[in-house]
Amino acid sequence: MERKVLLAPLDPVHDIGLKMIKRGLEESGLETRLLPPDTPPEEIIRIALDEKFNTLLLSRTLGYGVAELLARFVDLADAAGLRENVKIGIGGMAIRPELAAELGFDAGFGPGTTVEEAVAFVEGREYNPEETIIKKEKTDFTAPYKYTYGNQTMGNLLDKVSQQIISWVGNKTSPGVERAKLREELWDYQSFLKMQENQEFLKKYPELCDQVPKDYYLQGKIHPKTRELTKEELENYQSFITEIKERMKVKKLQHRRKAPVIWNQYGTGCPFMDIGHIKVSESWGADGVVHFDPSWGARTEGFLGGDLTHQEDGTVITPNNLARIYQSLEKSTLWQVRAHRGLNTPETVVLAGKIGADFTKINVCYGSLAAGTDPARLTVDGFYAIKYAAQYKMPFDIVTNEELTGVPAYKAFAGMLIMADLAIKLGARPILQPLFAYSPEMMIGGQMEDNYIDFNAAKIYALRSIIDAPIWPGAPIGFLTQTEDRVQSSMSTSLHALLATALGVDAISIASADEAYSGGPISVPSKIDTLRGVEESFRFLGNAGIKPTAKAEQWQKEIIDGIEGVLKQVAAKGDFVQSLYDGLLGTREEGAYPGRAGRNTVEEI
Amino acid sequence: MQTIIIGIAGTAKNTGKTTTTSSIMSEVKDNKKLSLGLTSIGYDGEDIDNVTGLPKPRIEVWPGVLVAVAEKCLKVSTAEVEVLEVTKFATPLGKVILGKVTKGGRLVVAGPNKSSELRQVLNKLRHHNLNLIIVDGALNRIAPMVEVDGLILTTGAARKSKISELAFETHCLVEVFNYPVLNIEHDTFRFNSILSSDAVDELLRQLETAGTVYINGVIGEKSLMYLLEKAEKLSGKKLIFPDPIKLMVIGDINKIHNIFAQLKHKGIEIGVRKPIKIIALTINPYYPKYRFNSDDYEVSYVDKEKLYEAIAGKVSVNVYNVVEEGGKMLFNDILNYKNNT
Repeated sequence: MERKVLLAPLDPVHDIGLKMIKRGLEESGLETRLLPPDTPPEEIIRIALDEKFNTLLLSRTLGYGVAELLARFVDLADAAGLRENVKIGIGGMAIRPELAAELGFDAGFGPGTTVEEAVAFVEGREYNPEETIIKKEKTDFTAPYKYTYGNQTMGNLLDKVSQQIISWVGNKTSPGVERAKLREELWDYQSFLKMQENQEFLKKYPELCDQVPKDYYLQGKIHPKTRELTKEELENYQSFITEIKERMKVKKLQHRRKAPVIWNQYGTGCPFMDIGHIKVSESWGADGVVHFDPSWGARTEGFLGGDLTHQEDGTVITPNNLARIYQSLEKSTLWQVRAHRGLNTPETVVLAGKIGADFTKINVCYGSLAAGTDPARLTVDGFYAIKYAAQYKMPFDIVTNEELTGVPAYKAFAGMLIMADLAIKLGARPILQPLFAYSPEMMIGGQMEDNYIDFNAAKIYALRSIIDAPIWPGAPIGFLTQTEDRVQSSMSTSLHALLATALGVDAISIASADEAYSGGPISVPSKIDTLRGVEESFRFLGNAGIKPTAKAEQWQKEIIDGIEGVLKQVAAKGDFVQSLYDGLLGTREEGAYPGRAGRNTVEEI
Repeated sequence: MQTIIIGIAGTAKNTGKTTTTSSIMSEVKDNKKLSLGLTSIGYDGEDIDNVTGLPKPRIEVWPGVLVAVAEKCLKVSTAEVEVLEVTKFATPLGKVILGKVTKGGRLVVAGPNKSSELRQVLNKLRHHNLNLIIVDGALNRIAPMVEVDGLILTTGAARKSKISELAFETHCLVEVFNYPVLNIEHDTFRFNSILSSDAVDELLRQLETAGTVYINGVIGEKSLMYLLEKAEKLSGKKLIFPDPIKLMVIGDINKIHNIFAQLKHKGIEIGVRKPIKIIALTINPYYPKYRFNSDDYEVSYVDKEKLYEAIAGKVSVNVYNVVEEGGKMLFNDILNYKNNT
């Protein structure tokens, strides 16, 4: 049956929405007629009746008194007998199904209405939004990479350093490595869920811990900064998850390109609040979430247990907390548990791997030069952490946030590449994570006075020319360009996302607009600001590009030369750990201080 | 068993449709012998007004009440409903279902929103031998209420906050419902809706020759004004509309009443084929006051005594403020109306 659609803007001016729908309807083979704006209601109804249209689509911007105006139109149409044979739909920015029902229309089309939806309405087919529900799947964005070297000189130097690390680690161990081994051999996630933890594990584990975890396991004392969630809180927590999962819809931020994968971090200190944040991140389109743990946790030997919350940044890693968070995730959400910097690095990988994390984070250089862990200790622990990451098939990023202390990018990159090469040799899948920000070395030197593009682009170009490996700038992108002003902050993040996308990177970590400056908990609106901002930047860019100035190429070369120089020095020294102590990968003057946590805990077996 | 169908129609949003509906429902609930059906031509029972953002009254149902609501209403209601039938009538919130409340609670009510579908849904409800069916209104919409047996009209400060203007408008409105019933004769000329000046010219020609014209639909506001302008010799002529609601929907009721008064003055008789009875009027002093500075609304009231006196003095039907008086007397009016018909 031939279907004719009459489109009428009830608005004095606006008819763009109807014109777009008209185009879509015509492309679907339907006959349409668009009336000029502000045609009187009785004339619209007369034309619809006289010319035997099947469907009438109206549009109107909502405003004061408009609901009554639309209702009067519907009444007049009904009384004139138009509704016996003609379906009437209303579209507009503020239109929702509830409002369309209240106004008396057959359908309401709000923002984001698809042409298929309008066609289905015209053709009298039931519109099944299931068809358009975004189907997200987890992707391993490291899969396409071969980890081959484009710069063979660099490859050879890295090989030499990695071999040295492997032989140095040899038969060394640490309390962290031993706990990871115990966790690996005796702790089972399913038994934990059934509250049937291995007794041997519980007996041996406290012996490998600091006093605070020991007190927890042996005397039931909890960390003074923390408290257990109450029974009532846990019940609310459970019903919150159940209720929110029922109505949960995920969203995709990418526009034309598949990359980059968007990561958002959580770590409010409270696992309950974390889940709220995670659900917001998922709803507004983040592809992955990163578990952010407190810094004191990284300096404590051993994990606590229980449903712990505390009023500090970072959520305590306990099996309970991780398990609850894992269970709250949507199936499509990537989950990263960071292991990178402290005394629990290998055990974090094992625990996260057993519970179901997809990614982890390891970097010996950053952890020991900027996060306070002893270089020797973290080299041993990092080595085993990488092996477990390979075993649990968790790719990991190698963060270079030591740049934030003032370490030049080329030195941080040399350290990152050493870790990457070691990981490749141990069968893992490393991801390069250059800082993508207002680089402190540039800030001091003034080279980024003109723009934020050239140096960030130079970093990506440099890394690409060296190795075929995934790149995930962070963490977060735009760091040090953001201010306490939420608009500026999400704007800056969005522009960095735009640049990262133009450069074709695989993933990005984005912060909430208030994250860099929050004096308290990160707010949900600011998280949404950033995600929406990034979405808009993708829409803005599409498949277009950004052209850096000639500086980018010059800096790319300088970075490559710098990395090569550092690697030559480390290779010549023949001792990676000593290179860290001696400042080859970042000096004290540059702000890199070899950490002290876990000093003298490395033992020969 | 005879079923009576009552429509609750408002002159505007926030004139007290839901409160009136609830007050009648609470009387039905107290009277264990009565069975109730409920539907709506709009969307009712939400917490927050779709336009003003202010809190709204809710509709509470109890086990045994029969409802005709859109599928998606069930998901957002705390009441539990056993679905008896999924009808073919589609609304923006899914198909209308017929169901029986199995667990009491809050019900969001959105049902068939056009006359033809309301008629068919009401026929289905009738088969369940109910004593009373309430059709809850929406905004200022009234067209589908042609399907009910009697109307409760709600008006108040949300329509016009100036009491004298509101009283005059209410008077005009009740007057339109009091237009005489005129019979259609075999020589009555029939039109469908009159929606253009050409159609008015034709209408005048037919009035000239046939004398009586029946408009089986509506006349547009512009067309009506054109008719007034063109009409000269109308003495002894008759213009018949299907029902008073067809006159209500033309436009601003004061203006329409005034135009018809002028037409009548020219000698034409104006009436309806089927009367619709206003059983009672409820009034509401509440109105959402728009605040320009903050672009939002605040709760405001006009003087309830003055409002009552002004309206009651202008109309020939009972007037109630159900918030103050409860729904008992209003409910008695409904029972009396039922017994008399």
